[in-house]
Amino acid sequence: MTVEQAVERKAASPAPAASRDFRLVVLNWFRELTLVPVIVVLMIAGAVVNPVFFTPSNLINVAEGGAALGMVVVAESLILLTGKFDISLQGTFGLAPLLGAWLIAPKASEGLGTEWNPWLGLVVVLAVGLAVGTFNGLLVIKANFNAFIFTLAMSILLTGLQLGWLGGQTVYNLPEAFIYLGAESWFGIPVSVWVTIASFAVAALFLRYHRIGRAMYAIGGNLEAARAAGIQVDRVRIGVFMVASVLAAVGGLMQAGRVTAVTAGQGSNLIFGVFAAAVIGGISLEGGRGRMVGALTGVILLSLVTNILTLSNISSTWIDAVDGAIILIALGLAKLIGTERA
Amino acid sequence: MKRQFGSRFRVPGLLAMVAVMALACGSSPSSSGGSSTPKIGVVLTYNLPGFWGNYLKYESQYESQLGVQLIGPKVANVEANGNEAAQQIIDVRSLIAQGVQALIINPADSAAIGPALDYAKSKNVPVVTVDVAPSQGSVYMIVRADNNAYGSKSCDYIASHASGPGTIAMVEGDLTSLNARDRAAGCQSVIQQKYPNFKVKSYETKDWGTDPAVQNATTALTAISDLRGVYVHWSVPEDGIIAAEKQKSKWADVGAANHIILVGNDGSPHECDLIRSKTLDATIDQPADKYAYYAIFYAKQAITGTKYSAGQSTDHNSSIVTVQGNLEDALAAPLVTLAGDNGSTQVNSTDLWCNNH
Repeated sequence: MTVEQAVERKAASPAPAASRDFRLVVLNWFRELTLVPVIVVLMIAGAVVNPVFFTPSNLINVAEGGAALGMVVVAESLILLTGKFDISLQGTFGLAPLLGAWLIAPKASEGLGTEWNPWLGLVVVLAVGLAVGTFNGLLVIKANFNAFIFTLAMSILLTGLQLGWLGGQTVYNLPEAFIYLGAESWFGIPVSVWVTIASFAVAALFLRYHRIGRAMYAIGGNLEAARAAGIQVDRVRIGVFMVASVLAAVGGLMQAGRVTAVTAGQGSNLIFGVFAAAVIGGISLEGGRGRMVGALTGVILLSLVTNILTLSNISSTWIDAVDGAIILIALGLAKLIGTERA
Repeated sequence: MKRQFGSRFRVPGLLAMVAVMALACGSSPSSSGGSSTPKIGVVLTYNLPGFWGNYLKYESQYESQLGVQLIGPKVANVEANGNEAAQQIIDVRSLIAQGVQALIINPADSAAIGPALDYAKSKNVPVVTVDVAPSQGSVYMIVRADNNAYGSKSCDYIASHASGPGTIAMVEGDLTSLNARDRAAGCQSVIQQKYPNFKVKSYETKDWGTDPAVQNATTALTAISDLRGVYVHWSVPEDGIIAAEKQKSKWADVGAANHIILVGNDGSPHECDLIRSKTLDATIDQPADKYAYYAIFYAKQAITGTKYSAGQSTDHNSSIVTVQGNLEDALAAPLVTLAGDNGSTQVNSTDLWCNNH
């Protein structure tokens, strides 16, 4: 039984339990926001480490640094909620923008030379995402391949294609429309940040209020019960794989726009940060539990840690170790407060 | 700069030389047996995909020019992440089993390549390493440029062209590679010795990742109030750094009063374009073409048994030096600028690989 369902059932129970319901709702929110105290502590630490930390410009850096990661975290969280996962999102994150860029960039900057319209390139990026997602969804859900090993193999394949396609070359000199998402700002805030926040908001509202969104929790909580309740579980789960891959492709486009190039290594090792952000944000690896707002706090936390470590004078060779330790502390805290309780 | 030898890189001349040598050696019995072309195994890493991608292009071009057969290139790729050193030992063994007469290796790790070198030696297969000097084991020749000089030339340029004293942000490559460490040390030492009014703030980038590098530079733009210049160890992040400066309204053309000096390393064709358009200040010409050419050249010399010794000067504006007990052809890697002043090479010079692309 999922927490979400438990709350709903309680809410439907008779009047005497009303105050208990209220407490449960509060507790629920509290669980989702486990990381808020950690984030507050980190922000204080950031201010102590370097006075530059609290300048608007730096906070925008933090947001922009987490934007592309955030898109993939939304994607992965959706799949996790339905009880599956997809490691190959990082492969899509790299390969989709690479193919799009390859078709639109001039030959001199490692493109194919066809110099397609940049909008067509964007369509290719999304289409690659959709194709990979459909393939993964069909084989994991319909053909019943183990999600871990299948998407791991897919990830290796996609990363390998990304490297082999252009022999390791970087595609650069990309047209404005293609890099718009990662390079432009609206009202002083990067477009990528707006899009990521919007994606989190839409996903959260969809999960909370849409029939299919509710169905996703039900599927992740108890697949057979969901099937018995008349939910078309396979269709929903395949659809989630497709949407997630498209989101990952958009995330890759953001990163490509930021560095105004697509490298052969884009996306490698990204998936570890994605899982870390989702899980410390309270998304259960077992499926059926967690909220988008929690996953968002996970992204904010990881991005803050990166920024503060960069601003601090910690020797750069130690940054990974500190990063890992902070994720462990956040996980421990989540366990203590209860998001990771079965 | 070492310009006195007229460092013109002329393939035909070298070809002629090789041809003469090949004729001279033609009569002596060689392990290749008769007229068959020498077989040379290639093992590379892919820690800098852009650079090695270009290297591979040149390599296949010179393969036929120099009349050899290259086997490989075995590439320890991204998926071997962290295990490249072990993979390379396996690759070396399998290439030797295929009967190669010499090996060209770009070691993933200066020390961990030792066992592979020992094995090759036990089988009498000479090794040329490219870009990395092994700290263990013996090789026939190291083809490499002086990475310490990359760092010192780059940071010397920034400090000497800055509008006033301040801080240089150094976006370092992966410090597990000797090249990144040498570049970092070269920059630090020139600033400490010659420019007491300057400070260097370093940012390491794991695995030479483009996005973390751009993010680090973006942080530097915000965090360092007296930022005079950015030295980035390789070329790929430059576009992103320039985009970040524009986004933060800190952009000014090269030469403008409030311009933040940007110097990269690689000398790629795109970098040369950026220098011509007054977007990038300078770069170091890391000669991908010469790396590819001389790796094959020396591998061939090794098969024919030519002997080299330290102190010998070459016909291409470099000299043979000793590095950790091995011989190295320390290829010239000039600073490239628009003005071509103070011993730097003008960006349109045909000596640069960006103009022979």
